[in-house]
Amino acid sequence: MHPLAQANTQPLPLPQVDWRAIAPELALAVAGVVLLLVVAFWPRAGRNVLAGLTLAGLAVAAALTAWNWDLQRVAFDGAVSLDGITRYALAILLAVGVLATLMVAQGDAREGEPDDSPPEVFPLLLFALLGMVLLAAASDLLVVFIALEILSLSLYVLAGETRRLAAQEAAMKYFLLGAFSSAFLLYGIALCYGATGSTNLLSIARASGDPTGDGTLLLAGVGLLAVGFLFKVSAVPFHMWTPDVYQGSPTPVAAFMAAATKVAAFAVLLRVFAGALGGLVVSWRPVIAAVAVLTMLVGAALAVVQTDIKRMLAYSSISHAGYLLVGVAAAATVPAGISASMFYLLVYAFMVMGAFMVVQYVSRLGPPDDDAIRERSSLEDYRGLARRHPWAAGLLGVFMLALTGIPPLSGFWAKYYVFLAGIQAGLTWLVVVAVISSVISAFFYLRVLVVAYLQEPAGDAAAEPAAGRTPALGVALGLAGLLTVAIGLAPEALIAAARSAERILG
Amino acid sequence: MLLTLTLFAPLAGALLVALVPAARQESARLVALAASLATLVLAVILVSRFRTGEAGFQLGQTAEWVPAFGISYKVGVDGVSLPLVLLTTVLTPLAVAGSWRMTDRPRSYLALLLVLETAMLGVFVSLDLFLFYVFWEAVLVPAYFLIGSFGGSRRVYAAVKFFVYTLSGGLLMLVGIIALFWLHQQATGTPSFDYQTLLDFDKAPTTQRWLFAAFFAAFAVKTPLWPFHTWLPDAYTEAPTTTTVLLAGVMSKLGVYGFLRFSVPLFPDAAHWAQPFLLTLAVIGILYCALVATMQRDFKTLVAYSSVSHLGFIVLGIFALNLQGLQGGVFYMVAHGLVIGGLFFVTGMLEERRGTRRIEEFGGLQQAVPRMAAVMLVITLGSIALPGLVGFVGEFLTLLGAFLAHRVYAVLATGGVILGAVYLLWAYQRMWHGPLEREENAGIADLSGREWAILAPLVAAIIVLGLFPRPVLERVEPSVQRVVEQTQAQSP
Amino acid sequence: MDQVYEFFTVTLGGAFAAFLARNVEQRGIDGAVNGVAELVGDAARSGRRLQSGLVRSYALGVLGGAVLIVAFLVFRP
Repeated sequence: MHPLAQANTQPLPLPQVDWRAIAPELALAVAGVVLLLVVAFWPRAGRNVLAGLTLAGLAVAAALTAWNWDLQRVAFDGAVSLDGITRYALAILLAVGVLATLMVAQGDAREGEPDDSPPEVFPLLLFALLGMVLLAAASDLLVVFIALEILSLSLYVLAGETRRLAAQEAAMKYFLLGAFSSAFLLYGIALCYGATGSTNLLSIARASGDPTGDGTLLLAGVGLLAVGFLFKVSAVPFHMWTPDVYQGSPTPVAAFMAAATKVAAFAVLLRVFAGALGGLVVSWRPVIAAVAVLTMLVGAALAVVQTDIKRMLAYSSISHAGYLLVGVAAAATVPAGISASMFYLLVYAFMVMGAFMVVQYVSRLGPPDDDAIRERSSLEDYRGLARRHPWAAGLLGVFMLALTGIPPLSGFWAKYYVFLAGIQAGLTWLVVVAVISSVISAFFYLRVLVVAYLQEPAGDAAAEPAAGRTPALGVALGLAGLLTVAIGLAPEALIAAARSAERILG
Repeated sequence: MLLTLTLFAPLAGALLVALVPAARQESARLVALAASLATLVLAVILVSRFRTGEAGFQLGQTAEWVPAFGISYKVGVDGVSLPLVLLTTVLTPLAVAGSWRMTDRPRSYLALLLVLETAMLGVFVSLDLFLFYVFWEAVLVPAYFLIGSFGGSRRVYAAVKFFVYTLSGGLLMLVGIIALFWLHQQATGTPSFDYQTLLDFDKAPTTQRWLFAAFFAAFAVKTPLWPFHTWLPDAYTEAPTTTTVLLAGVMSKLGVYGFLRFSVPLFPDAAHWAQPFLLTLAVIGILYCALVATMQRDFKTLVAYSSVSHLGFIVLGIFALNLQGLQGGVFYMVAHGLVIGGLFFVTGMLEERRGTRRIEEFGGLQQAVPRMAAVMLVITLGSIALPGLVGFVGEFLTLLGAFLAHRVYAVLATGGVILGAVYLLWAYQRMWHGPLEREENAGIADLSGREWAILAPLVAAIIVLGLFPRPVLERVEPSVQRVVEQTQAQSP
Repeated sequence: MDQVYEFFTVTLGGAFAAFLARNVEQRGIDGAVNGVAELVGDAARSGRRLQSGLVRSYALGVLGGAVLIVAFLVFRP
């Protein structure tokens, strides 16, 4: 008999199907399919209808998440976990989804320009969210891979969904590099399987503690896994795609990528490293710490010299990934590392989306631009914004200051919590590097404020066409801004909620 | 409750000012003035309710803020913070009045001034280390916009330098605060940022030194202590007059207050260990800044350097670590605030009239504006520490304290007193004495009613407190005595 | 006698003060502060040149990072 046929003569064990556990994911999948059908069979459906349907889908998913809130279990034979991380990440992702939908619905076309993004954006958004939610809940490496691919493929298409060439170039770059890093991830999964005999995180956790196992093979696998995840969160030196992709993609998509991808990717990082591989912390902590240092410093330093605001925000988000990595580095030995990272993700998602929303608003100002290659997003467009559009400038100020970490805005609490976790873990030196990076970051965040508040508007401000009515964007901006300020003044509730994430299941 | 009201009244005022419709900017001035005067009234009530002779914190309030982190909203005043609170609430309405003729976006300007007031008051009354930090950093934002948006030609450079420099110090202090919190939690199991709790917590000498260094970073930059002072001349010079009044009059006290309230009592062993170093830096600062001041051509920059020089005396007094020095330090904080406020106000008035601040552009002003000259003379003499005026009491006590601690420093610092007289009197002579040669100077107007209203209280305080310092010293002494005891308690 | 006083206090002192004001204050201390800011800017500008826009360079970055990480984990656990 052929050797392979001998190996497994038993039928494949099918896992117990736990519909309830993945109800929110199912809702997202169904909503995505529904929207896909709508787009296919009803081509004349207005954006508002599509946006409404998307929001409805998100609402259903949110309701199901709430219904599942107190569940704490592992489902599908250990493939999916329902625990604090899943819940918290779900909540953030759904909120980000709502904001992203509003941003996409508004669009970034100026008065007189054709409305750019095709209606497929909406189902793609839902599918991307599906992948992200699944990634945050995954407790089996194969599920991780599937989820990552779902989310990545959706994002690749989303990035290129516009007439401008720069976006298509961005999508191509993202796709090529993403596929490359996925290969590393898959190879890492294979090595881990080879070393432990399973792709299930719980089994890997058990096996990693076993001194008779193949430690070296496992470590190699861990390293490659890290590469895959670190690519997704834009850590250095896997970050190089980020500025080009964020700058080229349509602003709503860039915002979505900056916020949501990180939430999902850090959730899985925490689950895999702080959870499953907690026993190997002595090995991987120096790696994560070193990457964190590079990421924080490179992100902050390179942001200083940018003249394009989307690129600047890209580097800024790289530096924030660095701060999050400090939380991850602390996480295995200090439970606060987990809650600090989750809380940071929450706060960061709103701050960065808010910033991109202002970018979207400003990009709508001005005469129709028929540049086929790229949209303008230079800092020059922000000169004297405070006089032209005081509310937009005010919100810009809120988000810039929050990103810098100035109290009493939300970003401050997030940084503080991560610093605390770092010090508790004995990584005070890492916290000092974070401080240095924060100081450097003040330079470029302040520069935006200098341009907006302290410089005169270029040219004739009166002749500039207004942004038109932007109800969706207005609502989104209001939400993001309100949350950033409110969390800054009363962070207690959300911090306490993050604490529940500390118990990782599988 | 009263204290919280006093603390947030300016912020409420700022919101009201911001809501004034754009078409009626003049009303904004009235609203701002009303808010700042209301705060002053509240502060006066606070003073009247303050029980003299008690060392501890009074009139306080505690509430939970973020229990998950052990952070509470805890405020209170004692003999050290009370005079500073009063100083702040006195200078702010004067600053608002001084900004009366500002035509460039008065609403934003006044709102920012009021927000700045709340932030600075918050620093003085916080009894929770984390709360203190929040207010400390919160000062940066309005100050940055005030300097950068409304200032002179190099305002952006000055504002950014100020912001980044101060932020760096502040963030290092945050690391120290977190570390202290964590050490305490590890030792006792309770998370707390409460000042009194952390005060009672025994810390090992080496740990103390690291923490002292972390806090030092923030306070040294803010004071500013030489050589971390270079942000100040640019910031003060470029900022609009009434902003500089608040920066020099109040914000400069934040750093020395921090040394007194936190560095010394929380880390007494480290304070003693660092004493020679601090005293040396203070003395260098006094002498160096006095010398550099003599070389300045812009009168505002001269006063700015003078301010740093005088702050050196306060640091000297504090790090003498004895009763006289500390008491002198606190008194001098008040005295310095009054005097420097006056100096910058007059500078601003001259600038308004003549559009320049260069000393050489003036001369013989006494003949043109005799009343202004008289006021300026009193203020200048107050700065020089002429006996009978407020500066003398402060300077005398700090020098006495330093002398009792380490004679050398006191002797060197006295040289600073002489230098202070040199450059200030020399500047006064060049600007106010002598022949009135320039046409432009002859035609300027003397003090208006509004300007009298601003300067008169300052001059009165400079004279009265100089002759009768006891009311202030009485209230300061018990709290300062306690600080001394805390410092001696753990020291060898 | 007055002239002796004047020489020491005014001339010498003035020269010393001028030295402090220009060389130490402006060039020295402030120079150090601004120098730090410039350093960051220079570092950033040179870092910028690494962003070539070419996918293959980026992929090389990923590969390089991966090699480093795995090598570290395997040879120095």
